[in-house]
Amino acid sequence: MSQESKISPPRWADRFLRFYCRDEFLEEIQGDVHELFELRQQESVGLAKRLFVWDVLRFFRWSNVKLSNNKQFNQLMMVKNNIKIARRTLWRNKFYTGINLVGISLGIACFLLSSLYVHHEFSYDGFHENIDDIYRVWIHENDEGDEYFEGVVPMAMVTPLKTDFPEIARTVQISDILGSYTSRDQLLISKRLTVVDPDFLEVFDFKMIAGNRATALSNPENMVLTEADAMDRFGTLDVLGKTVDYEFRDQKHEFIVTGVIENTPANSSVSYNSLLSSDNNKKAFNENTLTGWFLYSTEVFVQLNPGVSVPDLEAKFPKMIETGLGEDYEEGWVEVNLQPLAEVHFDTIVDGENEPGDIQTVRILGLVGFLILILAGINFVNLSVGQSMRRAREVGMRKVMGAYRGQLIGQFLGESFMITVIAAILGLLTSSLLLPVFNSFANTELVLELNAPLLIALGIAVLVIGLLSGIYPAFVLSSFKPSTVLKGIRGNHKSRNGLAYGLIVLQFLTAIFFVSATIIMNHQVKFLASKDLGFDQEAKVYLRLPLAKGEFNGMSAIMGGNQQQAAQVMLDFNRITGIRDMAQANNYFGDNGWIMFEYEDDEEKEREFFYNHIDEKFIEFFNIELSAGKSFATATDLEKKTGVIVNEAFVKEHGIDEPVGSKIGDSGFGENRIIGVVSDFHFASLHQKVKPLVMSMESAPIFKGINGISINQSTRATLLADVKLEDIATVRDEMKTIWEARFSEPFELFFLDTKLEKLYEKERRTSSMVMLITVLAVIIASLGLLGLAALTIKNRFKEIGIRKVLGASAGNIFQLLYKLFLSPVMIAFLVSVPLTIWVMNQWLQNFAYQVNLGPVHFLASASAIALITLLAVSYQSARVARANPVDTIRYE
Amino acid sequence: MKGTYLGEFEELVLLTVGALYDEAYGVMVMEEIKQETGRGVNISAIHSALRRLQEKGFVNSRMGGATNERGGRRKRYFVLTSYGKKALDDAQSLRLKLYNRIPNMTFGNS
Repeated sequence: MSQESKISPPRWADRFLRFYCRDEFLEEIQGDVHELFELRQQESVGLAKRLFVWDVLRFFRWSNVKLSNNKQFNQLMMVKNNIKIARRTLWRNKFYTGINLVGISLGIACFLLSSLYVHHEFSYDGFHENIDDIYRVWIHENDEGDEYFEGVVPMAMVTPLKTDFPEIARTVQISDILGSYTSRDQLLISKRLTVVDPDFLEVFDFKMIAGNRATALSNPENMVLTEADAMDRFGTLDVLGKTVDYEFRDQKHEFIVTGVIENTPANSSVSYNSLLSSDNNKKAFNENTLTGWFLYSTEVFVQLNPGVSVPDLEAKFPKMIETGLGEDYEEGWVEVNLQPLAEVHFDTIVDGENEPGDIQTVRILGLVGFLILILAGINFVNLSVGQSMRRAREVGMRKVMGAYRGQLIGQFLGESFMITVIAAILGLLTSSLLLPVFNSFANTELVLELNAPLLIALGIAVLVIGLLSGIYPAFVLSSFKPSTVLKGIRGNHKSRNGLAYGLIVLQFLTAIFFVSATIIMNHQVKFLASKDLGFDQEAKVYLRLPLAKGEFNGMSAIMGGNQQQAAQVMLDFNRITGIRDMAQANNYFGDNGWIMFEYEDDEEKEREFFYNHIDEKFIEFFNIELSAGKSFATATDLEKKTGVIVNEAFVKEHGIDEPVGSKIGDSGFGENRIIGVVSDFHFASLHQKVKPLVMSMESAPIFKGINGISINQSTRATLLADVKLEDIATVRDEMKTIWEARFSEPFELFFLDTKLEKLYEKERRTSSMVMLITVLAVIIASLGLLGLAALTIKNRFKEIGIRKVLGASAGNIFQLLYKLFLSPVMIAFLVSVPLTIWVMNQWLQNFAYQVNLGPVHFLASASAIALITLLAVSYQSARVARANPVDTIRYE
Repeated sequence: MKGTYLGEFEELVLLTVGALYDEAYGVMVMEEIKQETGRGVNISAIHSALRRLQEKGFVNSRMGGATNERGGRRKRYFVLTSYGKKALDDAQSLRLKLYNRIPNMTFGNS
């Protein structure tokens, strides 16, 4: 039977059996399992194969395992012996082993965390099967030297993209709207909804938890809820067929739930909320948004047919723009481009809906993780080289007994790998403990899973540390000549000391650099937080009012309407006793910046300034300093209509000699007069210098003269209130009651100081991440120093004893040892200063207002490190300095 | 009495070896046990048991001749020794002795 069937059992299993099985049993065992296989494979080949493997594994018992081969037996014995020796050596030197273990496991933990982060950043969007064919549509606008890179494009473009280009397989619009609904306990809850083309579910591979991908959005009444929204509204994911209602654009709409989709994955650069079909566009957006070629309102992604050349396709877009813009078309003004989805996450040029990843941070963090790993390795090298003399006799003995050099190298490498593997396991535990800390520092939601990438990272770490730290001792130790070491002659270990001190310098260089960097970063962040912004920020809250209803003709009228509405709300709020003072303005502090106006002056030069539409109380409300003239509070009625207040930056930029009483800008503007000049308060973040600013109570004269506008917030009015903090809860409730009587929009109250802090969120995050790294680097470096100090002292035990006999005091001994260790620290410090200045200056370029790097920063880090050195060395020296010279000299 | 003790599974294997007389080798013993008792046993367990029985002297073994089966690999055949037979007899008689002392009536709650 077996002749006919060529099916044979799994080869590897058979080979494995031959590998382990004793020769005397091999034939019968192999015979039996093969016979069984032949019998079983008539039933089912797969099962027979599996059972064959199972049988082979079951036969792997001690009594069957091959031990007879003489040479192999000997090697096995040697391995066992080496492991035993390694265990004993490590155990005997508990102190050094401990230092190595702690250092390396910290290094590995740090490396794992950073690779986790790096891996997360690089995993963006990789889960879409068609990622190579998906492109983001973006617009490059070149407006006479002003360039804009917009990831948000006109909705009007979607239709031509869909119909006019055979190269494009699918086009998907992704636009958010704000909807709201009334919850069961009668709370008005606002939720973002995302209007997408039904193809959204086909182009992107977001997981559907329920519902049919192909048909879920085929109907305008259909809605696909995100997991979070389904849980919020129904408390279950079993929601297919239920109805949900949302109100947007002042109308209530009902939808049937036809699917549940996962929440936007953490590593997706396409973000979405509950989805509705773009068939609802007419209900969700106004006419201007739908058809205006100037209104940038939606993200658009396209999936190209395979093999389409992107440049060729892009070359066809100008025609579409020309058709769209009609008479307004100018060549080279607006360019439509495609960007591969894979590049979207790290792109910082195109302004998209999502915050881009920071490739710089990713690189730095990856590098730093590796650096810390190497720092930990350095400790290992230093300690094992330092200990090498102790093991010289063992090496000599082994060589006399016939050990090859290769075997010795193997032995020492094996030892270093043994320690590294143990440290890796500890490191894994440590990183799982540190992960929550890291997540809160880096503002990420990383999870530690024992998956392939993590194991690869761990493998790399073990390999790097094991090799790096094992290879030098292995080669040094194995090179000893038995004749010399057995006679007890010490080799020339000057060169080894040189290496050890070189490595210590490197370690301390890194540690001091990180300490200085942390100090400087903290200083800068504190400086930003405590810098006098030129206005009061304490106990201020604000709320943004909805757009005023009614017909308004032009921006200026809209803003006026909003202002009037705000004034009415303020009248209502006057009743609230917890409010000390109120004011209103169009723009508030702490967000993207205020409205920017552009105009052409009489010399046809493009100029720009920022603008805020304020009321008469604004200047006093924030206690902004007037450097000339007066504020609106004391202005006449005429001045309220035509007066403007500018800041000093405006005066300076426009070179106005006698500002109060003169006009802003040139003839284009309506009737206006500067009634006051305020000092330069920081209305935008401290990343920028204070720019020219104009404030007025009446916006019409300003609007008259401008030819460009960029609104960073909105034309909505902001109501500002100065509250008694102890009454904040009641104030909030009272405000809410009044609000809800007036508006259907949700009530949201913000604290000004929290909002201002958010401006420096990124810097605070970087600074705390660097602090975490610093702590690790310092711990590792001090551990290394502690170990090396102990070792040096041990090696010079006798010498110190003799010195004492000859009359050296404990002080002399301390001095001797301090000198030895302070010199590498000094060198490291000196090198670190220019390095730190250079690197930190790069970082400080991010801010218009910087702290000055001074000796203070470096003195602090130098004294911190010196203190650690002294502590580490003193601890070790105290022992030997106090010891009785009789014991130390006799010491063998 | 370590060494002569006969475990339950060992006894089963030993009985099977005896019953199969000259045909007892690993796979055959396994198949026989499966057929007679319905008990699925892994082949490696049979091998271990047979080797233990041989160490205790209950069975002897010899290698068979090469055949076309199982890739020409020889089988190790086991036969019952007289000592093994005696051990089985002892076990049997012990069992009978005790069995016969059971009074001819029923107990318990049934």
